Formats: sequence, structure tokens, C-alpha cells
Amino acid sequence: MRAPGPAIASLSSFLLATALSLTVLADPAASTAIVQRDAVEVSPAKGIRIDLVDIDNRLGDVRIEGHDRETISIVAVKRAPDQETMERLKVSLVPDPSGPVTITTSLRAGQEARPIPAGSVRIDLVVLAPRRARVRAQVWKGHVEVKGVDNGADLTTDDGDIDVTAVSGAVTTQSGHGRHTFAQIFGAVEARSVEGDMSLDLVRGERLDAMVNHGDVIARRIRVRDLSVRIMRGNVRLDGEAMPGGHYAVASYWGNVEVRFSGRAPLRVLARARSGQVSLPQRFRRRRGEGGLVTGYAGGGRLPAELDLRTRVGMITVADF
Amino acid sequence: MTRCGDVDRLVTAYVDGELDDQRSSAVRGHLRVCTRCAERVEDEARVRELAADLEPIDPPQAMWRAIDARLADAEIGDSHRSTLSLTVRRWLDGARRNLLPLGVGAAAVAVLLVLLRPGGTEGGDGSVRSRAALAPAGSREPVVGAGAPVGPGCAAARSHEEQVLCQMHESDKRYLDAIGELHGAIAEERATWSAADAARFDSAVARLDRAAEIERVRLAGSVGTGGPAARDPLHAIYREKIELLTSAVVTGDLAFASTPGGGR
Repeated sequence: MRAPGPAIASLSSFLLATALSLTVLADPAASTAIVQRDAVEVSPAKGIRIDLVDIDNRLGDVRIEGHDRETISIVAVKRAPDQETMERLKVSLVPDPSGPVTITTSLRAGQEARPIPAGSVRIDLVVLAPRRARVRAQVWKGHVEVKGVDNGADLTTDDGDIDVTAVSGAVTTQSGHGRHTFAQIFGAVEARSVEGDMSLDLVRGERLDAMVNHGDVIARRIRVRDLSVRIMRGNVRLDGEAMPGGHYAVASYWGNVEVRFSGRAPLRVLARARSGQVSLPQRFRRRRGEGGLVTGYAGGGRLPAELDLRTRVGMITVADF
Repeated sequence: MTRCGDVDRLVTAYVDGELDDQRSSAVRGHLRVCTRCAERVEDEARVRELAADLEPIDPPQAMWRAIDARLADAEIGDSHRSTLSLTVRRWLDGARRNLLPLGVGAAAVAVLLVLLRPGGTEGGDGSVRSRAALAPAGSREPVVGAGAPVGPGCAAARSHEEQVLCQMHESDKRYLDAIGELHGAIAEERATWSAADAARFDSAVARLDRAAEIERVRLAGSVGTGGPAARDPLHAIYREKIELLTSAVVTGDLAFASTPGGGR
């Protein structure tokens, strides 16, 4: 770990509780590789709450877990081809007196002209943060995992999977390539992926907004009032509970749309499959319009849930429970 | 000591921002004392600027319609396939992805065989599933730092610096491919838009293109690659553009185009 800079030095309120550094040789096959494990625990001064943990690691994976303490524990596992390069791998921790804590990693410029072999440097971070803190993580080619926090998360990776489990609050994820997996989310979800599938299981909140360019979206046990799933090329399979007055827009340009909604709310469906078929359960009163448009209505009540389903090339299926 | 001959050799990489810090600094030092080389670099930069201003040439609409029709046929065909057939295809796709690093040699042989077959650019079932087939010929936007080694996982890169450069190049390309594909779909969809909607949409796209261009110039002019973090603003613009285009293509939602910064 880098020695605390001026920002931390001026902050006597933060205490570096433990610091452990262990250097070991990696597996015998890669005899020149060095693995170093650093562990640090940071306690805020009395009266200060860590309300944001902001992590920027472009050198590896990030895993964040919420815990019931006020401290932040960081374990950094660094890999380098030699000791000289290892000393250039830095983890910086900068706590702000107002609450946020920033953790960044870097590979410092070296004096030697010899290039570092490709794929030989890496820093993986495991961070235990107070549950109430919002977490933010940005990685480059790596996996981001967040578990058990209560104030939401903002997660970005250029290429890697994103896993979010047991999180309350607003969650935003974005990636260029990689799979997004959400489980047990209680809050709004906004997910963006250029390439990669999305899987959502048990999402409860006001809004779920997912957009994928290439990939499938499979969502189950969804209960939100406002849902938007947009895919350029890929299939959607969604099952959830429709809420009275809720709006559910599911669209794929090239792909099948299959939805199944339970709940007591009456359902008003507007489905448009320009080059495919629309299939509604028997109980729907339906009407066919131009351009593959099918409207349908099922159930009684004044406040229907609106289903807006579209595909340009594909099938639309509304399944019954 | 850097000489005029060195600058002649490095001028392209220098203007593209591909030189490492030391070499870049050495070239800059030489340019301070050598008017001839300074003019040479200025000329090179001007040519790049002019090339960037050229209007992209779109393929004829008939070509897009033909591609679109074949994609539609192929995908409708897929939707009629049996579950077993789809499972086998999915398994094959998965195997292809997972075995990619090991199968480069085999793929080269396969490509050779396919090229030797008449009409061998399609799958055996006539389907066209390649994303490249959808993207316009040639990206509308240049890739900053082009020239880095490319390939699956940037496996060809030998040094860390080279690998990161390659990864940034691949990352840019991924965004630009997605944007290119969406532009292709937009070309089909906009026939159904009103003139006012189309103008508003074009204006929103132009705003993002200008912002992206400014970022690309900034990146090209910065010393060294700046690492992946330097790409964050450019990628944010690409993501915003993807969001705008996707909303227009997938849901026909052009209201999104009227909001600077989109809906995010």
C-alpha cells in the first residue's frame, strides 16, 4: 500500500489499524512471478461515517462486501514478474473528512527501459465496507462483484462480468463486454451492456431499465412499477408481477420477446411484431391492427398494467400462469 | 540524439499519439529546434484533420435492404428450428467461444477451406449472423491509437504497455461497431419518421459526434496513451450515443433525442 498522502496525513481522524504485507512466490510453474498480499483496515474517527466507497482499479478484479462495522478492510493481491515491478504497483487510499473513501490502483512509471511482459501485472481488490455506504467501482478488464450493501452501487467494467447480490438502493451497471447478474435487488436497477447477457432474479423496486446491444436478458421474479428492456440483437424472457398502473416496455430489434406476468392487475397489451407472430393467452380480448400490431386486454379493474412489447424480427409471446 | 531521419520515421506514430513518453518527448525536443521537421509534423496533422472531415460514404440503400432481408429470413428460420437444433447450435457457439484461444490454428485452416468453397462466406445453413455484416463498410468514426496489435484478448501483445494499448483499441472498436450497426438499422427506420423528428435526431447525433471528435483530438494530442482512464470521457460519449441510437431503433423513441445528455 502506498504511504498515506497529504490528504490522509492531515486527517488524524482516520486510523490505520493494521497493515500486513506478505510476499510469496507464485506457483512453481511461473517461478519468476511474485504475489504480494496487503491487508489494511481503516477506521473513521468518532462521529464520521463512511458514506461512499469509490474504487478505481484498472489492473484487476474488485469484490466489495458489506459488513456491519464502521471500518473499511482492504485486501490487495498484487502480482508482478519481479520485485522491481512489484514496487511500482500501488494501492492508494484517500479518505475524505466528509465521508467518502477513494481507493485507486496504479502502475507507476519506472526508470528502467525494459518493458513489462504482457499479462504479468495485476492487482485484485477485496473490500469490506460498511453496509450503509454507497459503493462505486470502475475496472478495466476484470470482474466486479458487490454483495450485501444497503445504499446501492455504481459499477463499470470495460470487459468483465458484473455480479450484484443482496443489494438495496439504486444500482447502475455498465460494461462494454461481459455478463451482468443481479440477484435479490431491492431498489432501482439501470444496466447497460454492449455485448453480454443479463440475468436478473428477484428484483423489487420502482424501476428496472436494462439495455443490451448484443445479448439475451433473462429476468425472473421481477416486481417493479416501471420496466424497460431494450435489446438490439437478442431474446428477452421475463416473468414477474404486474402492478396496477405499472408500465412494462420490452423490445428487441432482432429477437424473441417472451413475457409472463402474474398479479391481480388487469393487463393491457400492445404488441407489435413486424416480421413475426404475436401469441396471447386465450383469456385476452384481442384486436389486430396494421403492421403486425396486436392489442389485448385481460382482467377487470380500473387501473391496468400496460405492456408494450415490440420486435422487428422475432416472436412475441405473452404466457399465462 | 533525435535526428530528422528519426522524425521522418516516427512522424505517423507521433501524430497518432502512439509513441511512448520518452520517444514522444525526444521528438518534441527535436521539433523545437528544427523548423523543417516541425512543418513536416504540422502537414501530417493537417492531412489527418482533412481526412477526418471527409463525409463518410454510405453503401447504397438497396444493399442494406438486401442484407436486412437475408437477416430477417435467417432469424425467422432460427425461430422455426427445433429445440434440439437450437441446443446443438448454442453448444457449438459456446464451444467456439471457449476454445478460441486454442483453436486459432484450426480456425485458420477452416477459413482457408471456406474461402476455397464457392460462396463460402456464409454459414452452412445460409444464415448470416456476423455483426460485421450489419455494420457499415468502414466506421464513421476513427479509432484513436489505431495500429496497436489486435486479436482475441490481445494475445499478440508482448509488453504490458502494448497490451493495454491493444485493449483500448479493441474497446474503442467494440463501441464503434455497435454504433455502426445501429446506424445501419437507423437508415432503415428513419423512412418512417417525420421530418421534424429526423432533424431533431440528427441534431442530437451531431452534438455527440462533435463531443466525440473533441475528445479524440484531446487524446491524440496528449502525451502517451494516458491509460484506460483517459478513455473514460470518450467512452461515456459513445455509450450516450448507443443509448440514443438504440432507443430510436428498438422502441422508436425519438423523444430521447431532445434531451441533452439523454435520459441518464
